[in-house]
Order: sequence, then structure tokens, then C-alpha cells
Amino acid sequence: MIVVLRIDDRLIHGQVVEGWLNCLRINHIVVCNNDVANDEVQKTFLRMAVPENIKLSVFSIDEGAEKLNSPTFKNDRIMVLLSSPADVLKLIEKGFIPPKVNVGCIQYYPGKKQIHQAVSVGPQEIKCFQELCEKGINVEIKLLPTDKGIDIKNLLKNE
Amino acid sequence: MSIGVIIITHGDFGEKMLSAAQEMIGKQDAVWAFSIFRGENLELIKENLKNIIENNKLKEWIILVDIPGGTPARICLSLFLKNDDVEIISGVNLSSLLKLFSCRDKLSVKEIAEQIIFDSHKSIQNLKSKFSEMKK
Repeated sequence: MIVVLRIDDRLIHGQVVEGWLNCLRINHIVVCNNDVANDEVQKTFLRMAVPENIKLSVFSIDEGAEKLNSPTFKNDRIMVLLSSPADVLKLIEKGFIPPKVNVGCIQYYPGKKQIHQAVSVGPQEIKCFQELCEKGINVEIKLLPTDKGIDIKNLLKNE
Repeated sequence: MSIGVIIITHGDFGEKMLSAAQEMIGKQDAVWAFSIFRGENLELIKENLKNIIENNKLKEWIILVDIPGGTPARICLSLFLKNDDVEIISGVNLSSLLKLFSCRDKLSVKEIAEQIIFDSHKSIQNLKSKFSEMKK
């Protein structure tokens, strides 16, 4: 089962490994990212970041949608990681509808607007998040499972 | 929470390490960090340490210090050498701290001590060599 689906542009990092896996008893991380799926070096970096007892799968978005919809992993407790809201929309286009979206870190760079301590959005990201909300999907910023979640809708009201 | 945690280091890297750990796993209860600077009144620190441990409901304690032969280590040993409810572990690093927080409700203080030593050792790696191994 998919325990959590998270947008985090760092994909697998300390907060994910130390903060989420244990707490939600995740035993399988599924990364859906076209760049990483085609890059053996990046893939190895991710493998190095995952504890030995946790399974890691890296898929392209297309592959990911197919696998997440199939019963292949039904016995695992899965955390799905994507690097952007645009990728979540692509997953949806391919037929995988996430019940809920968790948002972790999305980094700042000039031209972006910081809407939360760890989340900055540019015009493209705002559009994608709004589209997700319009589809009725709950999108919540929550860095750690113990944090109080913040509905992204409330932070994008004036956009 | 049954096990208390104290971190004592030269300078404030213990405090900073605690803040880094909490950045990753959220705020933790029953943890104290002491920074020892040059010229610090060591008797005062000893007093504070004793007070925390004696006046607290928590039964067992893990104290993490930086280097085995430093002042933090010596202070703790001199205070708690004969107290079996207190374990003192040197070589504190972020991995040991995270491990400690994740298992302190599940294991005894002796088991935790072993576990965090094991995990800190495991966290020290030559990453380029590991990369080559994993790529095979």
C-alpha cells in the first residue's frame, strides 16, 4: 500500500530517511523521476542513501504510474517520492491518482516566491499545485510526520 | 519516555548537532545539551548535571560526549562511574544521536549503548569506495 506520496526536490535525504521511514514503518521507497531513472550515477547515489533493510525502486514517470497501479507492491508499505508537482500531474495523466499529496522541500531560487520555510514556488509550480487542488486532491505541506500539516490551498489563495 | 539523554561537548557542537537532529526527526523530549567553553566553571557544570539526573523522574540515562579523553568525558566519568543507570559513550556523531532517539523507547540502556556504537561505526565510510562497490 502507498503510505505517503511526497514531493521533495531533494528526493531521498536525511529528513526522509530518518524522519519518515521509521515513523510510518515504510519498507519500500519508490522514486518516480525521468532524469534519475536514466542516470546510473544518480541511481547509485540514491541507493547509497537508503538503509539496507529498505527496498528502493527507481522508475520513470510512465513506468511508475503502471507499477503503482498494479498489485505488484501491494504487500509493501510504500513511500513514493517525486521531485515536482508537474511530475504528480504526469502520474495522474498516466492514470495513477494519489489520494493525497505531501510536500516536503522545494528549494528557493531567484524569481520564486517563498510560501513556507521549506517551500518556494515559481509560476509553473503555482499553476501545477492549483491544478492538483482543482482536481480535489489534498495537498499538504508537512516536513515531518510529527509536524502539523498545512493545506497548500491556504498559502496560494492570493496567487 | 524512560531514558534521558545528555550531550556534552567541547564548544557548542553538541547543541548544534542536537538542533540538526531535530531538524530531521522533529523536536525530542528529555534531552539536554551542554557546551563547555574555555574557562568554563566546571564545578557549576557538574552541579547542573547532578541536578538534572538526581531530580528527574527518568530512571536511566545515556550521556554522549565527544572525545574519550576530553573534559566532558572526564567530568561525566568522575560523577557517574559508580552509577549503573548511566551509560557514557564517546564519539558522539549525528548517526549515533539519531539512532538513540529512534530506539530509546524500545531497548534497555545497555542495549542502546551497544546499538549506537555499532551505528556510529557503520556511518563512517569512504563514500567513493562505497559508490564503486554499489555500482557493480
